Amino acid sequence: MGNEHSNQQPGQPTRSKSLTRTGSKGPEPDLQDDPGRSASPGPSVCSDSELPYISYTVSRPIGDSPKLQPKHLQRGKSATSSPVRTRQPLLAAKSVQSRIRPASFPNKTTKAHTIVVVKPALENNDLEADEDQLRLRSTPMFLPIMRGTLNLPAARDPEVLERLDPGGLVALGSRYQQYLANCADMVAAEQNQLTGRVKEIDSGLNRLMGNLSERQKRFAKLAEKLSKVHEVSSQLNRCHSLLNHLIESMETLNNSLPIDDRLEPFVWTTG
Amino acid sequence: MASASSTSARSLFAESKSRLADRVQVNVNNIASVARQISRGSRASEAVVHSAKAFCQQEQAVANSEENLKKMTLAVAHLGYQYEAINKNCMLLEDVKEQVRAMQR
Repeated sequence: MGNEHSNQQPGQPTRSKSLTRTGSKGPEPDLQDDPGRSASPGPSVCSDSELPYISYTVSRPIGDSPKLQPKHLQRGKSATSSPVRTRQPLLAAKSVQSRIRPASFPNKTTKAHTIVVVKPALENNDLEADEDQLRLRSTPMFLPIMRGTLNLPAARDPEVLERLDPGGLVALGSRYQQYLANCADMVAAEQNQLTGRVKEIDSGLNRLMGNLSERQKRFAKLAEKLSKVHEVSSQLNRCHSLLNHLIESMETLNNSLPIDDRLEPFVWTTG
Repeated sequence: MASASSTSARSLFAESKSRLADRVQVNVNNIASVARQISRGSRASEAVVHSAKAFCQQEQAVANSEENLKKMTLAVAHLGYQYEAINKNCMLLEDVKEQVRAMQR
């Protein structure tokens, strides 16, 4: 705040000087300081020596109709334009745009009909229907607490500041700060809990996956071993059939022998 | 005369208006700095951003979990097949025992 006060003081005398002159210099410093507050240079006549670019355009009008003027200035330098702002680059001697634009003026006068419109001008209606501006305008009229600051900013500041107690605002601010911190801490704690749960679940799933794969491997081995049972049974069947066949063929062989050389009939004996 | 006084009055008001606008701008900037101090001092955004970052890092873990779950469904199917096979073979065991007993007779 102190810096802003001290910066204003050197600015003030220049403003008062400009008021006493009521001449051409009046609107210029405002335009140079606040390009947002673009004001047309009043009814006073500007001298040619101070504003060289106006002298250039006085004798040589730019283009056929005034409508072409804003379009020309849009040619690639600025996206938005308004009929008021077009005067600014002509008047402001320090802006870079003004140095570049006069260079394109000779082209403009020679080729008046070859304008390339990059983007058409904004409609002025949007400026008045802006929500924020409407709300700003609907604020009630009020006077500043330190009424003397309108004219003399440094007068009786400590007196007024003693009467103003910032304790309430400080308490409000700190309470709000604490509340925000609490809310953020709660949210962050819950989120961290969730993160921890995700980690837990991931590790649990990993363990489960390991168990399952282990079981799968064991079962594969067991199943492979047990599948041999099928082979064993099929081989047993073959053995049985082969043995039967063998016994039959032995009996036939035995019977085909002479009675003297026959062996005893074959009997299955266990043990 | 009247026009001169009105123009001078208008110019005076213009200057006070501009000064008032400057004061308002200063006040608005101060309020903004107070608000910034409140939001920075409470470290709300820091805490929330930190927890959000940590949560985002779990995304890899979540993807792993999803992949594991898919593998698990496959593994469960495999285990089902293996159980069926083992069951069948156990039944066959009984038959084989009968066969051996029959062969022994």
